Amino acid sequence: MEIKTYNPQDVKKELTTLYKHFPEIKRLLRTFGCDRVTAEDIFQESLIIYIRKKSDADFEFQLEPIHFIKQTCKLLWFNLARKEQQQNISVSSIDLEDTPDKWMERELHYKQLETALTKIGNQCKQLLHLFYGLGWSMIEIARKMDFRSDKVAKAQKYRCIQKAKSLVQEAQLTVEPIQF
Amino acid sequence: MENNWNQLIERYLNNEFSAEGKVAFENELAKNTDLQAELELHKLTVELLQRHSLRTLVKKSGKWYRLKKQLVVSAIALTGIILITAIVYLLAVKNDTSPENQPEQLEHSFVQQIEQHLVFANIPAQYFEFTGTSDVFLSETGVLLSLTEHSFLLNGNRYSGEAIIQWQEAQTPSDFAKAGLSTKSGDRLLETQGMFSLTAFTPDGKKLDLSDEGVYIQVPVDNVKEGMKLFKGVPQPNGDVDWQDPVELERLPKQKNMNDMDLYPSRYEPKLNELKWHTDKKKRDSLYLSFEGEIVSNIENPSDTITATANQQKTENRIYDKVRWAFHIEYLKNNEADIIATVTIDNGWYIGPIRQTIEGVLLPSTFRIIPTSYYKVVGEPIENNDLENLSNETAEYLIGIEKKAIFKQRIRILNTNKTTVSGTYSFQPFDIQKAFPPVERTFSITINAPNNQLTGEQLFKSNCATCHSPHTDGTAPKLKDVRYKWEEGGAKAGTIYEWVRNWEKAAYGDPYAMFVAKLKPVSMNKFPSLTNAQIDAIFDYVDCQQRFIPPSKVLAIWNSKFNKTNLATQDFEDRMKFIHETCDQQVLDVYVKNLSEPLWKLDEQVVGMGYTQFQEFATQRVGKIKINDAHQKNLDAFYNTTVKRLQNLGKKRVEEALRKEQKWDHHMQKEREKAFIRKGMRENENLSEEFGFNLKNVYRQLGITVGFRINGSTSVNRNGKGNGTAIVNIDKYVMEATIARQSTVITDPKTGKTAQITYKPVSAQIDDYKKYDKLFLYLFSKEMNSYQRLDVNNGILKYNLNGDMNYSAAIIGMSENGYFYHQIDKLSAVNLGTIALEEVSQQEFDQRINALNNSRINQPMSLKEELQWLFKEKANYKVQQQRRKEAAFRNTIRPTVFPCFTETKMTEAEVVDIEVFK
Repeated sequence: MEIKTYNPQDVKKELTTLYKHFPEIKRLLRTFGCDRVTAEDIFQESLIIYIRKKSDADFEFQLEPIHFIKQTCKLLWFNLARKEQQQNISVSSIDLEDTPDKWMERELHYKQLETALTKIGNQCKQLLHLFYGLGWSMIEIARKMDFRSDKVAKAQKYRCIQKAKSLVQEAQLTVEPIQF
Repeated sequence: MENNWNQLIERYLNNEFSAEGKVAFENELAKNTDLQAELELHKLTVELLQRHSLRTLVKKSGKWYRLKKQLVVSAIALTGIILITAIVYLLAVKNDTSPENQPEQLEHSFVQQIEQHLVFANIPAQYFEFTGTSDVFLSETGVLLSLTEHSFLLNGNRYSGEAIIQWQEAQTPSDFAKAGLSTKSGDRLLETQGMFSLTAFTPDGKKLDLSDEGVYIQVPVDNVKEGMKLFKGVPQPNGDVDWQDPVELERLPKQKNMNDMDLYPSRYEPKLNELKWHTDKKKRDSLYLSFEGEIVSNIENPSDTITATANQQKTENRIYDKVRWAFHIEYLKNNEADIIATVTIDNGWYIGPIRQTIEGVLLPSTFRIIPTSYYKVVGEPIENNDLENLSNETAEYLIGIEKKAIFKQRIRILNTNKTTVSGTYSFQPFDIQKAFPPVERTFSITINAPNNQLTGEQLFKSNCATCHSPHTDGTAPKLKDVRYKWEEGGAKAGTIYEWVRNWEKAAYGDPYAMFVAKLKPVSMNKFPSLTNAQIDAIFDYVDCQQRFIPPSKVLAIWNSKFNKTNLATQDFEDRMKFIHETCDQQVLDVYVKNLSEPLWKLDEQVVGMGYTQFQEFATQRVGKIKINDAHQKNLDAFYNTTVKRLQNLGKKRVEEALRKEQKWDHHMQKEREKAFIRKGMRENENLSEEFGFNLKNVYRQLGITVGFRINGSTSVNRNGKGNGTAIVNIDKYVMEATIARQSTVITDPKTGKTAQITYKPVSAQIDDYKKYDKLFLYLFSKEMNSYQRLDVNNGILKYNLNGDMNYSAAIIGMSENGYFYHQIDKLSAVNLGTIALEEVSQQEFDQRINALNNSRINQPMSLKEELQWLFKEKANYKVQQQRRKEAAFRNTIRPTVFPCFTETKMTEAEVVDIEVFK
């Protein structure tokens, strides 16, 4: 298992700081013809990608975080726009010096697979979020979610992860890897 | 299997395996392709889950970001009461040709261009860049501007792009002087808190108009001056500004999400937290609602289950069919009615009267109507039945009713609605030989409002309601408990009726009435036509009006559907605490039913209803959250249906709980009846067995062959008495000895042989007997099939044992705390002294007593049913204990939900209503 290299508290703090740049990025995206709702989606996606990339030990940031996010947003929007055949944006007008690498490709693939997880029930979602995302102990989870004991919570966790796995497996069969 | 893999994989990934375990797993992994795939899938899934978690965090921070933006608005709103004195709306639109300037950079030329539009001369302007989405700006002096995407118009159409805001403020006299501003409205001089000007331009320099939604501006001030208004500045031809069209000031309510609101009565949650009750909101809502269920539910129609159980009883138990109850209603004058119970009793059977002159053997029958807010119970039940004196030597003071009994209970109907009267009755059937255990049953019948008669409700509404209300002083004083108050105040009996008909006349006749006459400046109408009975009907109706905020109404608005309305605001939450304190649902209605009115108007309306504590809210001048009409209609409809649905739900829940209780009680009752009948049958069997045994014994002693038919020629002497001439059967002597359990000597005068039946007392004292609720001695004889159950009264055991029998015994005590047991394998007729019982589990008790029963004789009478009954009784302790706890809990919480219940003098109806739920 990937050992998490980020601390949820730090991530929360950093996200709050980064979010302040949202109006700026939104304006940027809107100059490309992106609507407000999509702009926020793209911004959020790029935040996810940024945090993940940052916790990747092999990677060292060359850019200011906000520039990296700007680039990512552009890329994501471009990718989305192309997919929706909004071809009225001329490709050449976008600065493409940072062409998508393997890493980014994988992220986009993950993004697609990840949507499968929304089908998992609310309880499972919360449990898995607390355990894998925030790294809570089973005892804490049992208390928070009103399980009789941590044993029960643990059993439930195995059931949930099994469900998640089958959803992911199913998604793998239907989602095609993204081509740039 | 899969789960095992999950576990193993997780342990492997977390490095939790021992060295050997890891090697083993890796070996397995190397050859098992399925496991490899599973491991990959697991890794991927976990990574995706982490990614998904991250998304949750990102979304949360997005929410935070937006919330904070809002908070800025609210926080500033909170810094004090904020007023705006003047805003200058610029109405003129000029279409200048705009230079091709970049919007972001306010280039010098651009600034120069728009500076031409400055409204206040010589006052430096501040500029804000508006991105086109809702935003908030703070000026240098702390004035807060809130702009939305609908704030501006360009050429009459909505403008939704970026804009440059030009802002000028003049707050000090020196500013006014510099700018040459006047403070005049027409000829009147104004005192000003400041003058402001806001002009907006598109990035290319076009001037924008304000839309209807406009901008929201908050100006901090040191102290609030009453009557502050907002004026519009209109430039005059001479260059002065005239201030016109004053508008009342309002503060926007502070929005809050319904999920974060707290609309419970203020003491409700703290109390629950103190008791460490569930924190789940759903459970707390449900509990809250159930308190309304208590009041709304009249225990209407519990008949479904009752008839069902009654039917069962019919087939199983015919004794109670000997007595049949029927109910009907007779309507009388003055909204009164008699509920009449006609009891038909089979020949040879009797029941007790309701009131007994001497305490008889038979329990009195009961007949009771449960009062509700729809009717009032008047007086005691009436009975007028012929009483039979059935006393004889075996049954002393036995008085009963035979054939037919009639019981009447008078009620006064208070409401105009059709309603259901329910009540309980109980009786103990008796058939000369024997009384059976009493039963209690429930009944209900439907009543209509009496025709041609005005109920208290109608009379009140048509005559009094314009000025009086039950709970609040308005034009006229509140009426609740007014008769009681007059009585307390020392008014003469009957003056109050006179007062209603002609208060002036009454005031001259009674000092208290004179005192009341001076209380209010408005004089009361006269109602000369009302009779005493009608006036009583009015007061009865008023006194029964309970005063509470129905939880259903609160929960109905506590819904996200009401987000973005006046109700989903911090301001309403603050008011809600006070609304709960008033206990007046009309106050709540004022706020709920007028969503399109500004809160301060509603505050004033409530103050007008007599709740002066809302004055403070009214002076805060809180406005409204705008909603359009269609939206409001939807909400109204939603509110009404939700209230109904919740009311029904609460009622249903309470009734369901009641039914469950009733069902259990009936079940218990039936079990007790069965146990009672079994005991009778067992005693019969026991007697005949013991008689047979004794008789055999006597025959053997007298040397008479068993089976010999006793005829008149055989006469014996008993206890040496008897003269030998009386012709007596041995049977009779033996029977009498067996019944009386007395030693007897029987002599056959012919042969001179003597036979002896011996009975010797066994006695014991049970240690700490008060601890037990039930205390029995189970007596097992080795010579008889049946066993006996003897009550041990006051912890003293006394019984005559048959000297020729071998006994074993078990003493069993029962209480809420468990079973207590003592076994005597060989019971002999001695004083056993003090016996202490030891606590045993149900299982152990079951085993030991069965073992004892089974070991004494080949085919002993089964203990199964008896034990089942005992176990049921034990379970009943728990049920009753639970009910007491529940009732105590509800009694603790109820005052927090309905704070006014304890303050008012409880009417009879209320008292009983609450008792019913104990």
